[in-house]
Amino acid sequence: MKRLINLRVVFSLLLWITLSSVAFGNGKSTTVQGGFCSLKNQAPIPGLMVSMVHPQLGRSNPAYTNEYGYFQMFNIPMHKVAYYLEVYWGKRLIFRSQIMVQGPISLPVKCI
Amino acid sequence: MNTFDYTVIAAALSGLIMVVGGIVLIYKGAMVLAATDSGSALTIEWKKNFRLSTQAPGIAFFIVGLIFSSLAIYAAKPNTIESIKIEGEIVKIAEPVTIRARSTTWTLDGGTNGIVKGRIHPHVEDIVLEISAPGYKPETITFSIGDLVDRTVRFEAIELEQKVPAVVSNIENIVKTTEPVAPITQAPSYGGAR
Repeated sequence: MKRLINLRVVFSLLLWITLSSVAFGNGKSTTVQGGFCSLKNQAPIPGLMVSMVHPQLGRSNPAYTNEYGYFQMFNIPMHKVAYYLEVYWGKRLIFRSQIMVQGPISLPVKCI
Repeated sequence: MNTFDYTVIAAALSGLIMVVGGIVLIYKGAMVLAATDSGSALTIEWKKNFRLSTQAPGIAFFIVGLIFSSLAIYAAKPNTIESIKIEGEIVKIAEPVTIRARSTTWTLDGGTNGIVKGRIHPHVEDIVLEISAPGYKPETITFSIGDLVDRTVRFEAIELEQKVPAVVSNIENIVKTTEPVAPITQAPSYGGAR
């Protein structure tokens, strides 16, 4: 009887892991893009590292702003819990905002 | 999994079945490893380099099985990807430099009537290095893998053009997180970037 219960627990765990991974893997994803400029002279800031971080999904691959200050990230899973968009100057955090990702997002250019 | 993977698995299974099946057949007495007379011995000969002769033809069953398994293992051996070294210098810069490497674009010629049908061959021949630093205009270097010596990319001293002075952290620009989030050092788990 005890062995049967153990088997049920193991089977339930395996089923949960499989369904969770399928749900995460097949979840819809989208793009996030935007731009940054300098508050001092309004010039675009190239070379900034932009990363999305989510309390449950973890951290995204980083994007870097191009010479016009723009970045684009794709394959960001849509989620009902908000993400944080973080911007780093090298390894120094200089900007963080909270954004909901439930479809393609094009953020206005932000001067920092 | 593609067709090749299925073929490798089928070959490995065939080999295993032949070896295990041979053992079962011997156990059941349907096949014997008893020696026959020298006139009916099984002989395998390849040119004049290799010659195997046995008076127990049942061994051939195992040999074929082992060949199947060995071929499957050989075919399934993962390809080793050779690394490419990068050597160079970025001068007159105090900011941390990031170098990202990507392949050049593979182009598919579409039809004129809007129907897209064709093939791309994703074989990496050229690689683009993008050198960037915060506040500096990024630079790109393209090189061909075939032209490399010792699989090393060497570039002369590069000076990036500064566009914006360092941005000072302002607490007003950083919202507080309501729950713990992964640090920047954590390995990324999703998403891609251009």
